[in-house]
Amino acid sequence: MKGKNKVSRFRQRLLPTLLLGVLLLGWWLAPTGWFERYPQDLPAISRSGMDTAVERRLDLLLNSLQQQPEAARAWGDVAILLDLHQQAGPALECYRKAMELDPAEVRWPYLGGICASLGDSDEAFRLFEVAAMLIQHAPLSIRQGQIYLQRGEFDRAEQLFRTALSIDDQLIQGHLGLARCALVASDLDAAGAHLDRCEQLQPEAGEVASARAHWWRLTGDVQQAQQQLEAATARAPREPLPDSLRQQAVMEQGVGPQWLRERSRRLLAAGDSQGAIDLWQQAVLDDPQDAASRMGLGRVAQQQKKPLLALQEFAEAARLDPDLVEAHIALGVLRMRRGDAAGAEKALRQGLALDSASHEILTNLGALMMTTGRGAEGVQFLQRACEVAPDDADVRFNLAMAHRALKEWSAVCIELESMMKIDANRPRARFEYGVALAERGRFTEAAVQFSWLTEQQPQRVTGWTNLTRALVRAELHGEAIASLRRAHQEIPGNWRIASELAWFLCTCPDARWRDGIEAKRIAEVLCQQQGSTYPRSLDVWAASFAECGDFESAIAKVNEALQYLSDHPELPQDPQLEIRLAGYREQQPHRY
Amino acid sequence: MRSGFRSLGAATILLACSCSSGCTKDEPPSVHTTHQFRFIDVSDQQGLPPQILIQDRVDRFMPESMTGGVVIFDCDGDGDLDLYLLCHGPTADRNVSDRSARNRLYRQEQPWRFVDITDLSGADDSGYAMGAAAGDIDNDGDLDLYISNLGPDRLLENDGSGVFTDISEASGIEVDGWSSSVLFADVDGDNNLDIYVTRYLELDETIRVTNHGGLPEYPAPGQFKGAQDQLLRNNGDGSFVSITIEAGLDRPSRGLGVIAGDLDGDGVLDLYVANDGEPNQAWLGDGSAGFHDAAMEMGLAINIFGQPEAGMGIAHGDVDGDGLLDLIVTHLISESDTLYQNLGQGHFKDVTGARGLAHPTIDFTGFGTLLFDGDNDGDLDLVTSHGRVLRGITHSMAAGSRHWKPYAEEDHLFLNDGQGRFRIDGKSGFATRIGVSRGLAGGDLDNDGDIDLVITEADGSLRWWKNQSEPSSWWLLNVIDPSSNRTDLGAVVEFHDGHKLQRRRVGGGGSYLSGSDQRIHLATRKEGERSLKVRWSDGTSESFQVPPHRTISTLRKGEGE
Repeated sequence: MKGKNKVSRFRQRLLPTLLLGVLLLGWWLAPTGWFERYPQDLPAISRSGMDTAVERRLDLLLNSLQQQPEAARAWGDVAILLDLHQQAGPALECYRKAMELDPAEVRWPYLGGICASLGDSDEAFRLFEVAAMLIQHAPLSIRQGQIYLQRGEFDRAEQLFRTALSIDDQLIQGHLGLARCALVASDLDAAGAHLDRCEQLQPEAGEVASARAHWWRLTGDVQQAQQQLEAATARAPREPLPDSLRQQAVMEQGVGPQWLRERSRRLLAAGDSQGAIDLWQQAVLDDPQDAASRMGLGRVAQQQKKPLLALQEFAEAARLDPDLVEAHIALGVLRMRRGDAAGAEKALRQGLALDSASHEILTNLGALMMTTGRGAEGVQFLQRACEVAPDDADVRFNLAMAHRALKEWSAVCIELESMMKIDANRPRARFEYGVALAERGRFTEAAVQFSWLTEQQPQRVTGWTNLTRALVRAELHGEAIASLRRAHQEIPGNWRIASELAWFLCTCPDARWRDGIEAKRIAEVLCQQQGSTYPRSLDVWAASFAECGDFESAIAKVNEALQYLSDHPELPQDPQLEIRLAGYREQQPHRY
Repeated sequence: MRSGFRSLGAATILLACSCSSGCTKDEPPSVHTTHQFRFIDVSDQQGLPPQILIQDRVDRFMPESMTGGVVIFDCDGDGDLDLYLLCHGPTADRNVSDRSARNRLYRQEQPWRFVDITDLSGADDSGYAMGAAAGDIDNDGDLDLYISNLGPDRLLENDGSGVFTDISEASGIEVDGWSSSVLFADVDGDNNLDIYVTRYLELDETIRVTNHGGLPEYPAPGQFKGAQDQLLRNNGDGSFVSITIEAGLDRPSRGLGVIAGDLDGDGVLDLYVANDGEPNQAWLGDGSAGFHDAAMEMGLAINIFGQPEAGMGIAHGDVDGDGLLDLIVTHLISESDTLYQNLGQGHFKDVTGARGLAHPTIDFTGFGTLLFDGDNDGDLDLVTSHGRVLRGITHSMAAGSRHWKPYAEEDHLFLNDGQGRFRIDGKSGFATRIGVSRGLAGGDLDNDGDIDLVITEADGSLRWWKNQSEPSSWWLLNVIDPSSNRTDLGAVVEFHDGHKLQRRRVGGGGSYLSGSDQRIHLATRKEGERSLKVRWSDGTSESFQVPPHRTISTLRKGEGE
């Protein structure tokens, strides 16, 4: 009995002791993450629909917060993450807590203000006021000014826009804000001046154009107002506000492919290509099964000329997500560039099986066929690409170039004519169209295309030389000489233009336009510049001597050219030189 | 024991203080106006139709965030108002709509007792409905319905007893795509009501967007091209023909709201269209169905800062008692609603800030809106329905499903001080629910002399707000032109209560996707020599004896003096 009582007493004491022990253990383990023991102030966070990468980051930050519940930074980081990922309510509460713990840090009221500005402008206003006591930051003044403007407190708004511009006078929003204050006050001179400044900074800004439209209306010029308004409607409505403070926060805490892409872009822009690769490699390490991260790494590797890494990652992305069309495309294109035609075709055909209407795949398959000698198949793929994207000028241009490779000049003309109905102002298309027309013997029309080209791109040599040849073939010798003279003025140091001009001056079939003396002068200068060794220039010089009746010099120059070519057998030989030499020996000048 | 008595004592004292302030449940506190009125949410009361909630889609299908029309009209000519509710299924495919996704017609049998007569009425169109308007297309004295859809629109002819026949095909209605607000008006003066259909955008369903959190979100309208509105001329023989381009209305835009009225004071009907993210259009009429856009010239295209805004709904009326038609357009969050004051002779000025509407409206996305005399004091108050199109800070009191809660906002009632300055009302009990409101219509549903309100929500639910205004002198007027056997849309009623002129236009559309009671509501709390005059839509005018107050009367053209 006694023993039984002892056991009973022991049990009576053991039970509370065990309970206490469990409680103490729980308390001890809590900060280590065994139990979630978040600070009481932590607002409710909805994880519904949250991306797994965001959730992982959130857990990490909450763990940090658990360790340091009195650290403003820990609260602020949670706030930024929630803010960026559409949890504005709890984000705002975390910003407030961070502010409370570290009232001297500007980021919490400032970022909190931005967070609140969409839906609670009073709170945004209050938080910006707090931030403004801690920092002079132009975007902050702009944001404050915009709130005052909307509330109709124009004097205060104007003051803040001026403050912003005193910090950064390139901020279009500052000038636009001042213009709007002036428009409200009907001060058209001031408004006009501020709008002028906006237009200097960003000539294509839609919101500036609509403000200008309002300005024109107030000046009484309704027609100008209407025109400006139509221009504004065709443009992007808002200009982004460059804000380093906000961007830094975004870059630190943004999670997900879009933030990775943006961070990567910034690293590359800053010249830190290894940083970009490291960034994506970390993303792959975090989730090796994530095809999007593999694609990201592959693309950066491709940009940084690391094709083997890029190939490996694209292939892995395609394996992890066989339905990821972009992976098959990237893999196909890269294999094509590396000469693996069979591998490229396999990848592109896999992509095509997933998306038969992808003009990108059809175009690349077409290009692949063209480069592997399967021209007819290539044209077929490119024709299909045109069918799925009839309004895409690039696709139609590719088809035209496929026909060009097959020397199907009539088809080239048809496709380029269709293409130019979509985009008439593409120089490359005009050039190719001119070539195709010339190949079909339509020299005058070809000259029109090359003439347009030389107007658009006066520094482009082939434009001028092709124009001359088309004009000569059209027997428009005077026009040909005139165009070459203009080309010589536009590109004075160019040897090809100078050579073409001199050649035409001394060989023109029409005696009215020949001028052997000028030709000789130009050719002499040309040869001196080139050390009198370049065969083509010697050939031109010889022709100019012949035109002036100095056949002895002409023969000497042709012989020099022939000797040079004989000494350099690696250079392309010119059988015409021997023919011309024979002519000069018979006192016959050469004709074009 | 002792402390327990002390606590009880304190509680008793507090209760007594509370009662002495007058803030009891039954008697609302006085508002800043000189009399009392209150709105009661009667949505869950017996006699009202049950709420039919739309099933949420997993993805974000843009049209579902924009729907929600409602029309208050007398469908059967029995003198009380009935209600037509626009509904939709999960897609624009008519064939997959189930019965609950069809539009509903609720007939009022007794005050606040509505019966669902959809099946009997033939008004159960199964399209992906956006909005509707009621108008008498055949001058037979009853109200027909035009339904704007995502997909083919529909025209339903009323036989006078609330039974409708779909005559879309027979009448040549061929409007397809995404239509929004609709308006009946006689634009060519032939005594037949024509139809103006605002159209929103050319939807590309393959465009899917996500927000910064990677969650699917509704796309922004700027990602799509605007659609061409349609003006359908009534040929008078039951057929309609589109005269959009001939009429000069040749500018596609993302239109959502439309009103008809005389904007430039030349006595000819004009149109005003609110566009989403683009300049608004003021189509000035020439009286014979020819129009040109003069919005920029008139100061109606963009706001005071020179910004085009995301126009949704339009309210129209004389807010400052100067006899001129003023306009209010509701907008997206971060853009205040805009009040365009009519300065006369076709000139308007954005006076939003000066009239107290900038600050209170900037944090909300406004859709439906109506100028009406909510407190029966003789001036026009303003009501706006709100609900976001992008997720934001979730309101702690947000109602509705998990899908819609992050979009929820409170609606607003603004009281007019008589000079056209507005102050938000916080005491009438209106808008205690935080939801995702869209359509809004007003009408005296119980014929007790004050305007009740109906607001639709994106989840398909319907909020009924019963107005309980303090008794005053009021009139409800049917304004009829016997030559057309229907309400003379476009007529203007001028009532002078001995102190101030009230000018009210008959019809004219407005709000968002919705249609309100076409009767004219007048009220005054002042005694004086009263007069009543009607300026008919053809330009003639007549004076009438002021009917006895607190009555519903009919003013017939030719029966005045």
